[in-house]
Amino acid sequence: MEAAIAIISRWLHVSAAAVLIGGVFATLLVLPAALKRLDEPRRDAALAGWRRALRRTVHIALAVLLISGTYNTAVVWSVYKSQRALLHALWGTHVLLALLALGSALLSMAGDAARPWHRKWIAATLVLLLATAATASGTKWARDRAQARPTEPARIP
Amino acid sequence: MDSWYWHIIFPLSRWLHIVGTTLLVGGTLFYELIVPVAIEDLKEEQQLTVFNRARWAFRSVVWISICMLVASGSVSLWRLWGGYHDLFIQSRWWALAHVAVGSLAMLIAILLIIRRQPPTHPIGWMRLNLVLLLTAILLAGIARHVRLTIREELRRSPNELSSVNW
Repeated sequence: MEAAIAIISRWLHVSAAAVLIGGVFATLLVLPAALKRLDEPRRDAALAGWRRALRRTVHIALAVLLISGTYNTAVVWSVYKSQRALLHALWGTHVLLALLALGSALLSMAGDAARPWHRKWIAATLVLLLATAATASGTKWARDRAQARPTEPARIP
Repeated sequence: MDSWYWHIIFPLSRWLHIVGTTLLVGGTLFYELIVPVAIEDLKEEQQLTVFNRARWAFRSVVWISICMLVASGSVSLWRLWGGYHDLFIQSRWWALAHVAVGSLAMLIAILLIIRRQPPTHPIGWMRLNLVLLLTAILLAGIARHVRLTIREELRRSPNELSSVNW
């Protein structure tokens, strides 16, 4: 049962991150190209509809990320506790960047009408999300290495 | 595998795999869920224009993410190949299923963007592809969990550790 929950939680975490990063990426790069040929009122209407639909998705993805992330951390907390350097350098950075990215995503999606700085916020959110994914990869690599090392009995010098 | 460059290449490859996945999954979801809602008030002709332009813009994203996924996936497979024939034999089938489902999803993505005209039922194909992509992620998670469980069991029984090349 525990194994099933751990697998599902990890799957949810990766899938929610995929939805969030992909949605933000599409908003930044695909959306302007898609709406280019529309006249201004229609473009604004489509953009407002887009933001509404994306906001719902982003809110669900953020909730899933927070819950599954907390559970995933709790499962491997003993490894982090035994590897303090790993905890502070990688996991801490991952959580910090994730929280910044989540805040930035919420701010950039607030309201139906896009603000003048909308594109810059979205770009900043994307950079933060990609950096968060990078620290997650580093954390996982370092944790796997730490878990793979055989435990040696303590030796008296 | 303890040289310094592997400690850069492997996490970087994992990151590229995640980024490639996010672009493909997020893009597919964006097509299936967000675009139809965003353009529901437009006339049919305008809806088709938006769909086609989005498809055109998304084409390069699909190619880039597939290249990233294939390259980084090959690196991971190469790293774990020895293990899949020895210690992690139980997780091999899960990993192979991940590769098979992931390849099928990438093939569908390529078929959807390679033609000049969109397919007859684009949303239906996107929905199928999204399910396949999410299944591929789940299979990767199971393969990893089985691998880590075997490793943990081996770690607890030191007698078997002497033959293991960590």
